[in-house]
Amino acid sequence: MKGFRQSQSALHTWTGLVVGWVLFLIFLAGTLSFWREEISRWMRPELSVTSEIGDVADQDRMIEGAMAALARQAPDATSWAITPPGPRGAGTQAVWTERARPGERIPFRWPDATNSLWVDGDGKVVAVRETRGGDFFYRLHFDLHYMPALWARWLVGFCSMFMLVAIVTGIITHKKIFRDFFTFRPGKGQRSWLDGHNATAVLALPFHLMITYTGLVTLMTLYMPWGFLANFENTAAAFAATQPNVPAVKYAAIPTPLAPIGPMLEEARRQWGEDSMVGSIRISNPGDASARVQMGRALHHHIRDDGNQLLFDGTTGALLGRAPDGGAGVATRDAMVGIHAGRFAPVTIRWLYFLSGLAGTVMVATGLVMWTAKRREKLPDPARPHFGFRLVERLNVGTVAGLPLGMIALLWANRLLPVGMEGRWHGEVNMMFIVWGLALVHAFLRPPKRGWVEQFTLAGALLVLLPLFDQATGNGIVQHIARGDGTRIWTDVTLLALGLSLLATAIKIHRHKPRVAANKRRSSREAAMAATGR
Amino acid sequence: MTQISKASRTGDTRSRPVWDVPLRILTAAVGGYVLTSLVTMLLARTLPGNPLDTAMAATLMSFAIYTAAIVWVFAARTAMTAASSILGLTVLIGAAVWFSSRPGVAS
Repeated sequence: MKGFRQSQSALHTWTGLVVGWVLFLIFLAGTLSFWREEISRWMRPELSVTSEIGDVADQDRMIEGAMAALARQAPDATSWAITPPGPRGAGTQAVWTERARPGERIPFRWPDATNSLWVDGDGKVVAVRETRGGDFFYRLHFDLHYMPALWARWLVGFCSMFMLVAIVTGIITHKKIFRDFFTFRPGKGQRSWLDGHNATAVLALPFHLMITYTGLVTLMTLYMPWGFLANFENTAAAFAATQPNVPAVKYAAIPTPLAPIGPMLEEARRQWGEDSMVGSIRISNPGDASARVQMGRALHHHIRDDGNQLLFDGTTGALLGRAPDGGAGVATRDAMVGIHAGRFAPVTIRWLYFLSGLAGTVMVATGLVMWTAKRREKLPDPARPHFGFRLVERLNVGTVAGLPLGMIALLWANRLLPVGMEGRWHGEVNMMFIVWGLALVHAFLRPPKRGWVEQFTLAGALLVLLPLFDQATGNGIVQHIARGDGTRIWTDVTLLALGLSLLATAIKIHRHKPRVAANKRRSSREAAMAATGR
Repeated sequence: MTQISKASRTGDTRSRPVWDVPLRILTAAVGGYVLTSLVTMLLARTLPGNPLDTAMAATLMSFAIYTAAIVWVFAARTAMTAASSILGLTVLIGAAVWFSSRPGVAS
């Protein structure tokens, strides 16, 4: 006869456990995404500080360079997409989609060496290794990988909803769970390596609530389409109401040259405000009478994540329409998405985002570890934990230490894979999952404590070695300082600091002495082992 | 038995049917979602403002509404109370949605 509380607690911990591993990945990848542009800069070392943008003139030069390159490279494309760098990025990416022959369907592909190119600060095409850069971590945190994005988003949404309920119930009804979850009691054996957890988690609690709720909001039309379906024919019609109200045109098959982009950029600045940067440009049917140019404002200008889309006639350069100004509901949604993604954030706020996200990642990780810490004491025979316990214990090692290890392996693959390799970005990503898989195998082969120490040591060492490798191959921190490349300098320093803290964690676990009670059990285990002659 | 003594310590001595927890989970997850969807639809149609803004505002609130429904299902005295109340509310709000109409469409 199990009490209600017990069964609910069992439900909570078991569901929490399954959700926890996914949440760990979401939190870690999402946290890294706050440095999306910095990671992209690191992963594309061919683009230096000279390809950053200082003012609108820099941006216009790059966009014109990208337009010229696209016209040479893919004149018959269905569409072109140009992404100038944000205030923290470098280089302009130009992507094209080939025109399908009748009856042919061109599957979606992420930008790679065969459908995209890069333009540097002078507006010239520059050879850049094929990589997804920081975008990979960004996509990973809600699309996962190796599975349809739709399934991934439902799974991520389910985990986020669970997280939201856990936070809210933790705060309002279960004061004890709240305390258990966020309190650090020193000198209690298993938990002593979690130093500092308490302060960061409590401090970051409003952040956890905010990031979970606004995260659900970013994909709300998928999770909760019913409010839109109550007022619109379908969700596409609701989306259309946020875009310039201009009827769509069909491909005319009448060759017509594109109007110059310069006057359109000027018009965009007249519409948005003189200091506005362009965030995205999409040209459909370039070189055809039906050409359209859609421009979105850069998203770092204010908190609200609104594109302020403008639509131009591609052959005349005339402004056809602009996205309607949303009312309170639209503005609130844009603000919530903006606060989630933090695209507005200058570097100080960005660091707060990153540290809070890191605290959330640690909170999920320690929650997972506590599952075993709490149960270890209740095991009937600590020398032979039951299968479920061993499984969780090893999966914790292989995920909490193994996933960061895999991500660091991805960074190494970015440096070591041949630059011209076909399908290179897939190679980088596969490397992450291969190493993560190996870490899981390793976790099952080694005693848990050794597993933690060895994987954190390897991860820390590999991370510390990255900036040193860059220096040894002639494009390291010395060169960044000489060029005055602040982003690359600070990225290297951060990689070094993160690597050292992983090593410090490994040392701390290595030196950790289980408390007396645990020692007793250990000696009884040794006695048992001796008795069975093992 | 440690479990029994623990249960009596927490004052939770009443025996509950085996289907209590499964019913609560089902009510919270599925019933809560259906109820939240209908409340969101009703709010989208009745809040002041243009159809896009009200749909946005209603949907923004939906995750809080869903959370409240889940919390309530687990706070209710019995699973049957929770299930019947959620069902009752669903029928009530469902009827209100049924008799309301999409903006711009004559009812």
